[in-house]
Amino acid sequence: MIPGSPKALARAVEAFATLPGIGPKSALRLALAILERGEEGARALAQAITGLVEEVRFCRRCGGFSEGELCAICTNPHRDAALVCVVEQPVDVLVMERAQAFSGTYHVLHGRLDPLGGVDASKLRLAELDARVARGVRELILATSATVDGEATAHFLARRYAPSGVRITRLARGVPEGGELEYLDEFTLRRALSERVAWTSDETAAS
Amino acid sequence: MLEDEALLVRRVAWRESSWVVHLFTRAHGRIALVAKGARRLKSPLRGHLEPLHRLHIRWRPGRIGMGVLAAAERHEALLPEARWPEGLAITAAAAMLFPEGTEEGFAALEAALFTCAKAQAPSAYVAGLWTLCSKAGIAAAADACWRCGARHDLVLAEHGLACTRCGTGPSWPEAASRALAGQTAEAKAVELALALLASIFAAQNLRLPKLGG
Ligand SMILES: [Zn+2]
Ligand SMILES: [Zn+2]
Repeated sequence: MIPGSPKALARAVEAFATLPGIGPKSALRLALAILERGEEGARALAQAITGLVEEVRFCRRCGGFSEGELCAICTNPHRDAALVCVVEQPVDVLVMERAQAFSGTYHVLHGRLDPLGGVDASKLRLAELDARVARGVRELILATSATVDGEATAHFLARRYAPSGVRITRLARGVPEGGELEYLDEFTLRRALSERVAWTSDETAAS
Repeated sequence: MLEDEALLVRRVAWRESSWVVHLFTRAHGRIALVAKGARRLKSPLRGHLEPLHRLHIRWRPGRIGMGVLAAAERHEALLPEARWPEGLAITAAAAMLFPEGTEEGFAALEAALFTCAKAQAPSAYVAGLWTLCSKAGIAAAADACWRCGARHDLVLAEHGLACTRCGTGPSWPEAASRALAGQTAEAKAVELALALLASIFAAQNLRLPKLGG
């Protein structure tokens, strides 16, 4: 910090700099911008920040973001509770919802198997998933990351729940929408090839 | 610039967008390198720094501190996907048994993953671990019977470890050693083998990585 700058400014810069993507320069810029906005703007910002940690909780059932005991998805009668998409992080639920293509519910593990980093299965939210499967789930969609850890987690889950007779599926991987082959990495390409799907025939009436 | 074949054993987030990666190399022992910017979406290293795969790496060794990874290329997996949970746990065990400064990590982990890949399903984990222990020279350090608790009373019998105090009874040593050889589908034998391995690790002040929940 520049010598002689006010203590409060130095404190704010230090606090901002702990956030991801914020270096000391950006932190100073942010602090100055807030100073410029005046007291009212600063108070609104502070409220938004404290509200974040006070009001956002995790759903007791699925582990996703929630404002109450249960989240808006779990309490929605139009969502299929017997179709469960298993993801790693609460933010993954938001990402899936953005696609507007899923009418089931979610289960957030709050992590993935990472024995190299010291995360074993006991650290994942599995007790709740066990209970949900026992109550009756028709299909589990494994939507963990396409990394070795994510893949291992999917295999672990499949093994754990296969004996219960639930249908287990995995999110497909391959050529992304708008993706030209030239720009695809070899792993994606290899996967797309090995998991190619049968061509569902075009209408033959095109004569 | 150095170049070698490697297996990833640990990956720790470093600063904003980098990894510190710990690798077993075939000819340079265990090394730790900074993989600058590897967590960025556009990084050429992204997708390559994965465990359980044969890697080809190039790096600049550090004059005082850590070296810097210049390039990494991921080749084939050492075991089928269905065995990746076991493979990761075995890799974590290898990271404990072969700390920095040791030379044999690469060969040991490669052999252990190979054993794991070939073993019968329920014994794949214990078989891989056993190979690891043998390569680390601690396979004989099981100094207590997991049945009667006798210490230093274990002898290598024809079919595996036997306890001189109670070993004449049931055929558990043979069952356990079949599991350690990856040749059984018997849950009880795997459980015994796991108990033996846990005692071997405990004797080294290490905790056996858990496979299930
Ligand atoms: Zn919920
Ligand atoms: Zn005994």
